[in-house]
Amino acid sequence: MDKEKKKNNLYDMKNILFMLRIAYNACPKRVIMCFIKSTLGSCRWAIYNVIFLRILFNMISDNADYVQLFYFLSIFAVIFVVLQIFFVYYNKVVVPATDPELVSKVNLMIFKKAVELDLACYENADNYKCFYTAMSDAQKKVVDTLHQTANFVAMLCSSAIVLITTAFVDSFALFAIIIPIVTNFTLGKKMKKLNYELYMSNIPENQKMDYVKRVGYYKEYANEIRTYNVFNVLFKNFDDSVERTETNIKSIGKKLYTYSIANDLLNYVFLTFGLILYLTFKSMVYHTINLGDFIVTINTVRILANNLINISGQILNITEQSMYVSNLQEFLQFEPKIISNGRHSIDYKSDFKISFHNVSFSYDCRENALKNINFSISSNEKISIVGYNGSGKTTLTKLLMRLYDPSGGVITLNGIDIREYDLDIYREMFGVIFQDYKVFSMTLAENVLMHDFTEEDRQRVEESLLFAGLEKFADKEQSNLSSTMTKEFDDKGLVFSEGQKQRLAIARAYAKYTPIIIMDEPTSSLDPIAENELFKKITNMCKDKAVIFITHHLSSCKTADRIIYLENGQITEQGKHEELIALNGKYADQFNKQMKGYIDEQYE
Amino acid sequence: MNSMNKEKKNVIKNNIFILKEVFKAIPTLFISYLIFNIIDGFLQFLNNILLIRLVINSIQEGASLYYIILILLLFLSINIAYVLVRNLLITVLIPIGKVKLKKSIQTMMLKKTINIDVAAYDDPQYYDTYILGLYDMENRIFRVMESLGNLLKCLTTITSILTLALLVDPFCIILVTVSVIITTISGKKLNDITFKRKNELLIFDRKSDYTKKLFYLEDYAKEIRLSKISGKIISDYISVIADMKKTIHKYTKSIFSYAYMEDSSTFFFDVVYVFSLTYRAVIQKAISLGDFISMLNAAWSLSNNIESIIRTINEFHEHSIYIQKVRSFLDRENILHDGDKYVNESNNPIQLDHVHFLYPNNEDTIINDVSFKINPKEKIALVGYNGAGKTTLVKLLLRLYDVSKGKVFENNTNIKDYNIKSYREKYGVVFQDFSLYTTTLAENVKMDLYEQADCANIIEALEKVKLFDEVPTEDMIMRNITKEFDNEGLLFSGGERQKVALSRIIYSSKNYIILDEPSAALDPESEYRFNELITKELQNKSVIIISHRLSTTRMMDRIFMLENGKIIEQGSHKELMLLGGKYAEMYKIQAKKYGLAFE
Repeated sequence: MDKEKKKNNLYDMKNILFMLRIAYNACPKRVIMCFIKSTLGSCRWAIYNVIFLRILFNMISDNADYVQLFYFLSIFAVIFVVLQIFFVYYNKVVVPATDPELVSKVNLMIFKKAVELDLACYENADNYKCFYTAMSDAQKKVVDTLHQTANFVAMLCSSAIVLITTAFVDSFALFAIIIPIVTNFTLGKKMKKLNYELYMSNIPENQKMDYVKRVGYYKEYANEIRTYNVFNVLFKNFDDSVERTETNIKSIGKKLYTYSIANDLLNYVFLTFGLILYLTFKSMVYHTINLGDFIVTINTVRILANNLINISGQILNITEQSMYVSNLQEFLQFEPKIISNGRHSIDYKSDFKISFHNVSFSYDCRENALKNINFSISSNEKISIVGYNGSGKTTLTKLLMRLYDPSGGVITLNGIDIREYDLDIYREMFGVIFQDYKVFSMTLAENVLMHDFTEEDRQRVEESLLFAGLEKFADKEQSNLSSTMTKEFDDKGLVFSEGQKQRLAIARAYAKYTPIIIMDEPTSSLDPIAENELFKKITNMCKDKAVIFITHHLSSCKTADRIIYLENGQITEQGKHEELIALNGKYADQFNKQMKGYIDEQYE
Repeated sequence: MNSMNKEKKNVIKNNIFILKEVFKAIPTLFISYLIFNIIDGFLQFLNNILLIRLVINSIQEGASLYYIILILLLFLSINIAYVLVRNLLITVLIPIGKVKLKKSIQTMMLKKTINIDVAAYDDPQYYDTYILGLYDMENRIFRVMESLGNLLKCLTTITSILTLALLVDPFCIILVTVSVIITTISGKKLNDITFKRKNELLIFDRKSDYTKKLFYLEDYAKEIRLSKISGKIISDYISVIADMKKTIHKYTKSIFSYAYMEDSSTFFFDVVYVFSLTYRAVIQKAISLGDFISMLNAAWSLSNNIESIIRTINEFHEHSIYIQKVRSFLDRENILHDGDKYVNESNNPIQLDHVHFLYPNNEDTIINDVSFKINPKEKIALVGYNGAGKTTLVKLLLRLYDVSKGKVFENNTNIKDYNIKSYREKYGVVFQDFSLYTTTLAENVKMDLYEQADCANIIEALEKVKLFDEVPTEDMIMRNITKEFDNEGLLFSGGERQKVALSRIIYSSKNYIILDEPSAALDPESEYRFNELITKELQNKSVIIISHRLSTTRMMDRIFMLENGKIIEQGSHKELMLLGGKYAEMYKIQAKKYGLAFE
């Protein structure tokens, strides 16, 4: 138990050092200034109460020379004024000036790591929660840790000053301090534990309440909550959570109350009442202390007690943060599984062949999302992937693009494992049109290119827009290329309709000049005529490219060189449309069902 | 000057508004909390200033030891009583009060939210202004109460100290007054500049938040990995930070000088006061050592409390900004008004008469002169291009929006004359973007509080949509949906989700059914079954269905083809095919892909 505690403390220390190092690397000036400021700030009070007042009272009771007294006061006044200027300078100049520096450096570190992260980290809910908190709070926590540690060190310094001087004046008074220290640490720790317990037991309730708020406030639910009475259910759930929270508070609150009373009373009895009583005795009965020392001792013990209470609080704060820090540490030290080995490069222009050899894959080490997949795609080949929802279609393309690595088997490009290629170069082979493409708040040209726009790119961008049917935005006179997209930061920003966004996705793929195009249900939200039009465009664009096309609409597969039918993560049928129809298996059955919907009685 | 007074009035009004809400939610706690703070303020004075003065003066005057011990014991018992009360407040009463406050304020705001016009959500300000305010308010409401408590506490301490000062050393009061004046003036200036700077920084903060969103959210993860956009995002971010620094630098000098003035005025008061006290004690010998030390402590305590009051007043200003947002939300008037008629139970005709619609603040006409009639039990399909106005028509029918021109009738009564809730009750709807809720499956079907009596009907509805392979049991329908709050929760695929949504319609068995793209996420097999379901289960209902899949709409009684908010063709499938217009063209394109030849 004891060893574990020590280990824990050591662990906390390490975490703090880790955070401080991040802060120091980001902005050394801020870190150093922060420590100096906190230490001076805390020692100022110790010096005022312990040294200044003591000397002042002694001078008064010794009937010191007025001039001497005046000089003494003036010197201290000057010191305090200088300190004052420094503090204001730190708070109003140093902090605002270094904050962006500190925050941005930490953020950049996080961003760079986030880009490296495997997609799996985002798609696995547990991982994602842990990483998300690490990412979103990092800058705040770094600053918090810096402040807390600086305060901690400062209080230690001022406590040392006070302790040493008190020991000279009245060593017995130190006993009045030791008892509260002990109780503060032991009872304080117990209380923190109870508070933590309460906090943890309320988390699920808070999440449930947040959910109800989300449903109430967000647009996606607006229509439905107005046509159904589902909010009755949510109100009830909200009230249930409130009730459970109250029960939690009551049950833990009882213990908390007892501990806190014990703690505060001991503090008060010893620090205020006990100490004054002791000093009174000393002064009135034994006459061993003068009134100046009497007052100074009371003031100093108070400072000391305050410091110690704050220190124990601070230690517990730091322990609390520790859990967060380990999240961040885990995040920063996370080794992406999908790494670039960078040995082989690729000639995009020459013929290629990508093959899956016995590939299997699972998201969570339990159920296989893909099993024994064998297939290949070569230059210019058009492949359709079809199957039920959840049969593994999208997963297959993710493996192909190396967003995931297979759990078993290998994927090869021209006979070499794709893991042997430089990752960026490998991914450059693919142009992708997703269902859920995003528009970034950048210029239109940058949204097409997906990187910085330079004058050399102009032709390419215009060509791509023209191709995708966004010709009115390619118009030279209107200079739409450099207008910002989305209204996020620009009231005049371009806002695209769904159809236009879909075209933008095509422009992106076109601008990339890649040898392979992957499309994941790109037309699902289009009406038949738009869909048909888009299809022609895509077919046109992909004449000399390899294409992988995921779809529900079996009618779209007819012209494919090969159709792959997936069921429960396995390829159950594979071949040309005519072959599969002749096979009369699942594909044929489904195709017929979809077709039947269109056969009019008159044509039967 | 006038506007400033007005602003001050607003700050007070807004804070009082919220304090009234606090009083409504937790009257006893609120009052006791305020009283406690007054006592607390007085006790600060007793413990830190008066006690030392009494003891030292008694010692100096040679009072008896018993007298001093008696004083000490008196203080001890007061403090014990204080600790007993304070800790009860801190550990139990206040935490419970906070939850109660959260509940009452959220209930109030949610009730308002679920009844405002849907149009409110189209207002881009809605999220920026209102939602942030609503989220903030559940914590803010407690902080307003805290600020008031703190204000009372500081005022009590200051009053007590000033009373003592009046008796012992009135000079102190003059110094305090001067320092307060300087502090207030420079504090006001400082606030103005800080506020100005904050406003200028706002855009950079938003930009940097946006950057974070791009990296932190799953939505963008794929795209960032498959393109080089991350380099561009990062370089943009770096330039935002550079602009931010420039803006901050611009204000540094003036902020520093006002902040120094504000800080040093109280500090200056303390230094001068030390000189003055020393003078009176040493040269004039006018005050005792006990008075000296208590006044010194009093001086520090005064400046601390004055600073604290200034902070609190700033807090009230900040609260006011947020409260204002919530108030303007609560005061928002609905454009849609309730009529006083109630719909009757039977299945009646619905009629649209020259209906026009455009969204507020938007010039584009979404619905342009649409008229049609739906007879009881008729099955209607709305088809057309994206953005033709199909979904908008449905929203008008449900009176989620009011028509801009024209009329909608149900049973020959203008739907504006109906009580909105009772009118909407007549419809069973599956929206394109329907949601499942993290509560039990049963409640997701019933869409209201579950009661034992509903069990059989819910099971029957689920059975009909074939959500499960077997007949569900009561245990099964009582399971929660999603794993969000329940590790044993049910996870549904897109197709299964759609089946749950359909089961709502079967369960509620309303007279009018609206289905917006009901088969979009269904695989061919389920889609086939779905078509069967419509013909079988919804036989006696009036049905309106929106679909891209013309194979689904084909079997409806009448089809309306929309283009640019107008009905351009209408009739049965056969009629429209014979007409050979746009509908026929669309249909042929889809059918052709299945190898079906026409003509």
